[in-house]
Amino acid sequence: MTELYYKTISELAPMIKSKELSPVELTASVLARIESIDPKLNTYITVLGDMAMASAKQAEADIMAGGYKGPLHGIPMALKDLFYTRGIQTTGGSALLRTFIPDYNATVVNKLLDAGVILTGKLNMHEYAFGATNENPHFGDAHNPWNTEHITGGSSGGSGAAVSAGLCVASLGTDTGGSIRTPSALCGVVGLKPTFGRVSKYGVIPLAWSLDHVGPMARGVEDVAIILEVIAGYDPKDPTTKNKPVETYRSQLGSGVKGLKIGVPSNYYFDDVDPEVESRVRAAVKTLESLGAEIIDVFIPELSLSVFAEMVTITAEAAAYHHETLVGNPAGYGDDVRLLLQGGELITAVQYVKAQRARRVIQEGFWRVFTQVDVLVAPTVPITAPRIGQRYVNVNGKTKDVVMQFMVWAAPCNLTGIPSISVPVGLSSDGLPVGMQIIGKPFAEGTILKVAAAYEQESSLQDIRPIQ
Amino acid sequence: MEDFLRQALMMSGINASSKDLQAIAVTMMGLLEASAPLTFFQLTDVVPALLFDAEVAVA
Repeated sequence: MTELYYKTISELAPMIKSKELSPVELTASVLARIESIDPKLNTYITVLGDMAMASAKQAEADIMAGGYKGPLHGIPMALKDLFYTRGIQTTGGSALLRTFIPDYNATVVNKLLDAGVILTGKLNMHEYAFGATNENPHFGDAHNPWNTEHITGGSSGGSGAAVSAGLCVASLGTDTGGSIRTPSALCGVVGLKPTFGRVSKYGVIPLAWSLDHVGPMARGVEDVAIILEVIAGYDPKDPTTKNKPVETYRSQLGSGVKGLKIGVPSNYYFDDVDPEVESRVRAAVKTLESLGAEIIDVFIPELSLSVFAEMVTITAEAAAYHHETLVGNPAGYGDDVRLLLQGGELITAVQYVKAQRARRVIQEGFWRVFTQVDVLVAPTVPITAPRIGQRYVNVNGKTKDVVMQFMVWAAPCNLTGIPSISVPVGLSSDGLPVGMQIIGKPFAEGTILKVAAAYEQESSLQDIRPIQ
Repeated sequence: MEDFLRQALMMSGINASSKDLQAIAVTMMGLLEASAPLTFFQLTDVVPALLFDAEVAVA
């Protein structure tokens, strides 16, 4: 029998709705799990135990009185610590914001609370979301629940590890260069970066305005769909959001992949991939083919512009946001983040404009391929989780920088704003998760969720648990 | 190169340490390497827009 803290939203919601399970019992189970496991994982920066129990009691009373709100009512979730939460410390993973307490909620926080979510706390992250390892000099490193000597990935590493280990039922992360998908892949959970403009970023500490995305992380594809239905939509406070109707993503999950055209890039995404990662992803592609999808090899040469465009855009925009603090208090940053911000100060205007033009060229490359296929599939990241402190990995006899390995595979979807979901596709021989990303057309979240759900039905990975 | 970087950062009011400058120089060399594909694509030939929008129409 699955412990309460390991159940998914899609399992828990009917139990809560039918009053078979109280949100109080569920929240107590999650809080006990945090108390017992988090000293090993360090996923939480702030645990809101008393507040969560009070919210759970209120949810129980509301449901008993006939006021059930929907599938998130009474569900314990935790948030990456860069979402503004009124009256609750919001650090951004930075010592500079250790005492910062916002006086309003981010739009997505209001949406979750209105839907009845129980907030269990704020989660560890890479400092200011500017890094891919979640090694944090101010709040301590987050540890991977599949092997605590290894990184979680980042920057939403606390979210990935907490969801994976049952320290919350689901979470929200942000993704500027893979920060939802990388920790999802390394921790063995499902993470969705929606289309740019699908989910509001109002009240979210920015990293790079034109690359940032907010999205859900959970233990199942249906859970991600449930959360997306709640948080998506136009927000007048965020001018980058699109005024387009939000689909009922869950209703599309069961329609399968028969007849769907799935593209597998023959360049870029499979260049220098760890052989074990490649074999797990190729096996997942075979599974999709066996379910009736048509597999088509595609070639997108424009992707070679991605590293330049991502490096220039992310560092320049981040440096613009942090400039005054970087000048006035450089010692307030960790070494890695300070170096990246100083590098961003040196990006020229010409480089920045060329990067934006390159983004358009990459978009056209994707668009050309999307006239032939419905979705693309590729490894989320080319390696499994390295050890904490490890700076380089050996891939096929070549020495590679760890952070670049994560950024390269994620960047094209940040630069173009197209949606991408990471799903677990197996474990390596040393027991670390492998992820596959499914990439779709703009605002085609329903399609990539459908493909992810079809694969998930055939996978037995959801029955395997990390740390006990 | 580090001297040039130091002076460029000074113009923005940032006084970087020698150790930081060495690391930044490595990053800048990496950026130079990453810019190589720019020569293969006509960046001036795409639509006359700089604003970013995920939902673009392509002719």
